[in-house]
Amino acid sequence: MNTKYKILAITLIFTCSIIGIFSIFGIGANIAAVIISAGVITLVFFRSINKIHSYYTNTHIKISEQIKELDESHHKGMIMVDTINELAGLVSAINNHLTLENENSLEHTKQLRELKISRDNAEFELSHLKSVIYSIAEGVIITDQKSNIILANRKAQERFDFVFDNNGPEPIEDVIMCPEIISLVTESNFKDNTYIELCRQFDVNDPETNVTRTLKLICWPVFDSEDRRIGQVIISYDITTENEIMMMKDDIINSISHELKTPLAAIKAYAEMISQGEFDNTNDAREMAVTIENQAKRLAGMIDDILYLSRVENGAVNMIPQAFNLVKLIDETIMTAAPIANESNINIVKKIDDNELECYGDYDLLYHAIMNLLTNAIKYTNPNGKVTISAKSDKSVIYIHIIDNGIGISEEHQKKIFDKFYRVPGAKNIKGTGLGLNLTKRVVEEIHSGFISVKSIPGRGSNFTICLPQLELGKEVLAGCTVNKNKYY
Amino acid sequence: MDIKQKVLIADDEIAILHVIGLKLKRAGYDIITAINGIEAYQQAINELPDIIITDYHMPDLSGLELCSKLKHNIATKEIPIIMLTSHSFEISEQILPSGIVKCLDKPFSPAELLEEVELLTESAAIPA
Repeated sequence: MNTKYKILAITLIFTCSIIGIFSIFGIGANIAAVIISAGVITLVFFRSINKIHSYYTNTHIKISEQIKELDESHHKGMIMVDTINELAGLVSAINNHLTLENENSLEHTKQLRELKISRDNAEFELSHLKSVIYSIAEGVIITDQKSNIILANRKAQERFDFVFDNNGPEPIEDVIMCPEIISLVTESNFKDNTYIELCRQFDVNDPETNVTRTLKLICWPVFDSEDRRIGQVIISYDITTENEIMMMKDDIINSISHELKTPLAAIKAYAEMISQGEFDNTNDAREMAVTIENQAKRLAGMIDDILYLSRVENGAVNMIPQAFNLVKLIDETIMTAAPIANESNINIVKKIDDNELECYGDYDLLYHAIMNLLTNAIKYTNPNGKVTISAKSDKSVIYIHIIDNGIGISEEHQKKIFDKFYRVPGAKNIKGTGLGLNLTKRVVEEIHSGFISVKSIPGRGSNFTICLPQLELGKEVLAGCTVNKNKYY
Repeated sequence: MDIKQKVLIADDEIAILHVIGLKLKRAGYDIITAINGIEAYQQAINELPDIIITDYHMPDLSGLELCSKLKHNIATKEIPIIMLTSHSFEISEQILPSGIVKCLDKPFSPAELLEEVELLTESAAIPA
């Protein structure tokens, strides 16, 4: 109750009391009684008013507090009143409204939660996608439809020497200085809504290594779900190695076809002479037939090399390990190589003290390996030169040396001569496929667990050394190896 | 043939040298042989053959390098050259400047080679 009502009530009670007292002493008792009654009634009236006011005020405060609490907490709930009157009716209406609001609020909350999950998922997927693009080993650049760069991965930035923070579109020409990329994007934009893949190939100098690299750019337009062009993606590939392999492959095919055609040419020419009866006597005919036979053997040997190498690489070598006399094997290689050496008057010298030097391994494969080294030595030795083949054994290792006094190999090329198809530059006019040394190394090291090395001085000659496990050790190392040698790779 | 025509054959394959020599000798030609490009060049300068037959792949001096050297020597620049090669498609563009008049693919026919040699010697015999 307000203070002014309290003061008024007290004043009235006080006034009535005074009047009552005066009435008792000076005025009639009836009048005094009326006055006192009026005072009492007034007092009772104001107390009732006060109580009613207090009651409504408290209810109002409770409702206000509950509403405030509901408003602040954003929790669903109801306003609680412990009375039945107009205020209770109002509260009931409010509660009905609150119930409806709560239901709507629940729906909104659910929708908000779903939206948040979708947004989080989209953000995760975008981040994941960016990470994937960023990690691609080839350069990736993505532009919008106005040729603004919107994303460039690490490789693209390194390769084309630019910095882009991926924080917003920038005109591509302001970021990338590579004219090939700019022209590609410009040309792609001219194609409008047509799906056309554009390519460029060009050489760039790698500033770090100072090596020329060949790059291939491919530009694709990007369309949205409604087939509207929204930009383009440009991927740069480093095709240097691919190009080198292609060139090497062409070189190999040329080289092998030439090598195969040479003995074939001799065979065809001699066969034609025989078929046309162009020989004076039986001896001439026999000589021609022998030449055909030798050339056919040579051809078969080359084809064997190619097949052996292929089988060794595929782990499909049927190895037949056995103990055999190494000197006998070396004698056979010398006998086969002698006609080639005789053509250039090259002397083959054998230096082996122990004629019973035994070895454990696959006879045919080792024959091929040693034959390759011996014929190489002859090929790269000048006419009238000398090729020495020697073999010796210590407790655990058998050493086979093939030494020539030929043209030699520079240190730079010594590291590479065992690589498949590698041929020393400048030796192109000396016939060969570039397969022999690779095959020899594989046979010695991968199949027989041995070792091959070369020492050479250009202009003075070369010394190729094969180290093989000695007989007993070879038996242990190669025990059980009869089918393929994958486990030794 | 009243005067024997002289043919220089250059190839590092002894079997090829032998078979071509045999075929041409039987047809009445004088034969000179060389087993590499350097020797062929020396023989060409010394013997001044009427025709040269050379292999494309040879050690020290390739067939093409030999042709180029012969073309730049006043004494040998007019000698017609037949080249034997496994790669005729590769060197077709280089034939004209190198003085090569004919390329024969390996494996070749000795009879066909003889025909080419005869054609060249006959055309050389016709007065200009």
